[in-house]
Amino acid sequence: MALDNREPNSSESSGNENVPVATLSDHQLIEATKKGDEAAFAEIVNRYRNPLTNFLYRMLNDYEEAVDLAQETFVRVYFAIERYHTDYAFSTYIYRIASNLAISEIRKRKRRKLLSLTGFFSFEGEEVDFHPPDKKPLADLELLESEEKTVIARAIATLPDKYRAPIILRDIEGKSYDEIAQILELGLGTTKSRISRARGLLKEKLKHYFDFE
Amino acid sequence: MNNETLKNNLGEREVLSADEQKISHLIGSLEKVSAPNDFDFRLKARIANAVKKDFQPSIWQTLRYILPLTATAIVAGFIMIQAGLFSPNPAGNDFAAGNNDQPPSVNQQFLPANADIARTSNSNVFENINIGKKPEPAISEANPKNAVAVKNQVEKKQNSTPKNFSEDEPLMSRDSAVRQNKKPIFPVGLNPDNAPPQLFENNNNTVSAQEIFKIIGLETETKAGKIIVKSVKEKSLAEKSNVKVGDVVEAIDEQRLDQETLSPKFKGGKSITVTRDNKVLEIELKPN
Repeated sequence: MALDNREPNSSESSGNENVPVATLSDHQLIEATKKGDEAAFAEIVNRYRNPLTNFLYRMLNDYEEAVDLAQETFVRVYFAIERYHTDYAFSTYIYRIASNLAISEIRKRKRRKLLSLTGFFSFEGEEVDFHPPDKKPLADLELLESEEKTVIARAIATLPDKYRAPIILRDIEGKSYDEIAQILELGLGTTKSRISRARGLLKEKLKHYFDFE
Repeated sequence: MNNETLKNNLGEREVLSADEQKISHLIGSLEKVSAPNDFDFRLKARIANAVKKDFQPSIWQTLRYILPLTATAIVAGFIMIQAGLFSPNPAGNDFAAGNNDQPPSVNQQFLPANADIARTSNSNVFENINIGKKPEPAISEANPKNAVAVKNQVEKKQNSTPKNFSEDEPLMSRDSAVRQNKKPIFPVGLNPDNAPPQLFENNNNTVSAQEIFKIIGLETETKAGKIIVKSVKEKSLAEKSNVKVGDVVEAIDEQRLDQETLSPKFKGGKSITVTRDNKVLEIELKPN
C-alpha cells in the first residue's frame, strides 16, 4: 500500500483523471479503493485518523492504546472494503468498528483488574468507579485547569462502557442522535436515555470539583 | 462545544437542564488529541504484515479441519468394533452358541447327537473314548415289523468282521458311540476300508485284550503260558509309553490276563503291567 509513494491528492483509477481526492466523498473514495486506488484509501486515513484517535483516547484514557486501536480500525476497513456497502454513511461504519474495538478493550481491562472499589459505590443502580475527592489546596490557575481537564477525562474514562461511548460521540465528536444510534446499533430512545444518564453520572463524579445546582 | 454550537451544527433542538449544559460544556472543552506523525507509516507496515499472514495459513488453521475429521473417524471405528462389525471369529462363535446353520468344525461333524466325548487331552486314550451305552434303535411300537428289521440290521453290523486298520494310519481318538443304524463316520482322509475295528463286539461295551493290544500298537505271542511283546508299532501308544519288545504282559489295569485265551474284557486301559528283566513294571499308557 503506497501511502507515501503515489501522488497523494489525485485519483486515477476512479475514472477521474487527476481529480483531487480531497474533493471526493467518502463513498467515492471507497469505490476508488475497491478498484485499487491507494491514494483514495490514504485520503480516508487522512480524514479519520485524528477523530478516531481522539474518540478512542477519550474511551480508553490511554494514548498509545488509542493509536493502536485506530490503526486496527483502518486495517479492518481495508480488508473488508469489498464487503462495504453504502447503506450507511462511512463515518458511521468506521466509528462502529472503532467503538466495538474500544468496548472489547475495556472489557479486557475489567477482567484483568485484581481489586476494584466499584462494587461499593452505585448511582441509580449502576456501578460507578470510586473517586475520592481531592482536598488539596488550590494551586496555580493553569495547573488548576490542567487538573480539571484531567479529572474530567478520568471521570469520562471511568463511566460504564455503555454510557461512555454515547456521551463521547455526542459531546466531544458532535454526532447526532441518529448517527450515534446507528454507530452503536441502538434505538433512538435508548441512545438519548443513555446520554442523559451518562451526564448524570458525570455530575455525580464531578460534584466535588465543580459547582452544580 | 456548547449547546448552541450543537444546535447550529446538528440542527437539533435539545433542551438541557443547567447542570446538563454545564456537563456538556465541560466535556466539550477537553482538548482534542491527534494521531502521531508516523501513523500512516505504521499503518502501512501493519497492513503489509496482515497481507503476508493471509498467504500463510497457520498450522492451527489446518489442524482445525483435520483434527475433527480424525476424531470422528476414530470414534466411528471404535463404535463399529464394539458393534461387532469387525469380529475376528464370527463362524466359531455362532456354532458354539448352538447355531446349527453354521457349518460345524471338522471334529464335531463326526459326532452323533448323543456322543459323550471329552476333548482330547493328555489322559489315556481310552478315557477319551468314553464308551457309553449304545443307543437303542428307534423302535416304533406301532410297527413291530420295522422294529424286528432294525434289530436284525443292528446285530448284523455288530457281528461283521472288523477290518484291520492300516499300520500306516496314525492312531487317533474316535467316536465309539455309533448308532446302530448309522454308518461309521471316518475322519477326512481316512480310508474306510482301513478303518480300525469296531470297539464294540458285544453289548457289554467291553474290549478284549487283543483289541487293546492292536489299538495301542502291540503285537504279542504266547510262549510257555506267557504273553510276550513281539513287536511294537512305530509311533504307537505303546512305543510312546516305553513298552519294549520282550516285555511280558501281566495285566491290564491291574487285572490279570487270561494267559491262554486273553479272554478278560476290559472297559478301558489306563495301564499295562509287564515284567522286564525280572522286574514288574506298571506302564501308564500315555498318548503323548
